Amino acid sequence: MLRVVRVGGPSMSPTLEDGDFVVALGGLLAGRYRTGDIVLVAHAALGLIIKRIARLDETDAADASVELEGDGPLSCSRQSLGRVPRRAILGRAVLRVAPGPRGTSRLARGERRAMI
Amino acid sequence: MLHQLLSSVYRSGVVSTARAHCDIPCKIYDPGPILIDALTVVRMIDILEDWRQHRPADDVTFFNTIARAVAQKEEHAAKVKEAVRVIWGDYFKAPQLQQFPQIHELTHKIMLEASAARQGVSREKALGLVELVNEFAEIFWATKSVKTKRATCPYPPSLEVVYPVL
Repeated sequence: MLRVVRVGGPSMSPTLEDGDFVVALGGLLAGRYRTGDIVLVAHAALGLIIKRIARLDETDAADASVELEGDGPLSCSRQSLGRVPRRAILGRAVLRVAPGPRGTSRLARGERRAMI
Repeated sequence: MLHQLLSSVYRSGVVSTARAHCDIPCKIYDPGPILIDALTVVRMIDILEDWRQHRPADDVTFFNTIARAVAQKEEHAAKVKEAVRVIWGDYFKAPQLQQFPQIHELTHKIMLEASAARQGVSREKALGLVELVNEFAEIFWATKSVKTKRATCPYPPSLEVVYPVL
């Protein structure tokens, strides 16, 4: 399944900026999730959020979970996001559509942010 | 170009927003100002009592001072509630809650006591508020492994207040 969402807020900066659009693949199209993937998540407390997978259980168990984090320094911490059930992931972001010179670009898989 | 297209689609309400947003986690939390607010509530009640006993002949002067003291009492009791809620809601997370599960009940008690301090002029209630905030401060500093001491604040209403020993 294909989803288009608009990014709201700075927590995924500089990868995604406030106002960018993202195309995400869901269901079978998403493939197997990996650490470093940018994902759309239906978070129990925060609603629809977009974050990067920081860690994930390498099992197919029904209660498998992932930890999420933002790329930017203003993101809430991994701890405050909590562990999220794998089934809460709605899709994997594959394309970023930004205004101006940043333009449209593919989001590479498992690409981790540069360590500062 | 593509962004412009999607922007117009977005304005139509079809596309939803994925939040990449949170409060700025500034990590600056300190119960010190809350204690000053709680002390202010007691101080305003003392000032009201003082003016009751030494009521000036001029009514306007009297009511003016009463109104100002009541307004300050209201404001600082409300500040207590707000600041306690922020520390409880934003700072306390799973590890701190496991360590001090009583923080929920204590926070709720502070809400009730601060409301009582707003509604009335009971010094006893206001003293209860200061003590609850003291307990809140002790727990807060304990989560950071910072020792605390109780000392009498060097200004009116000269009550015992929790200070961190840094």
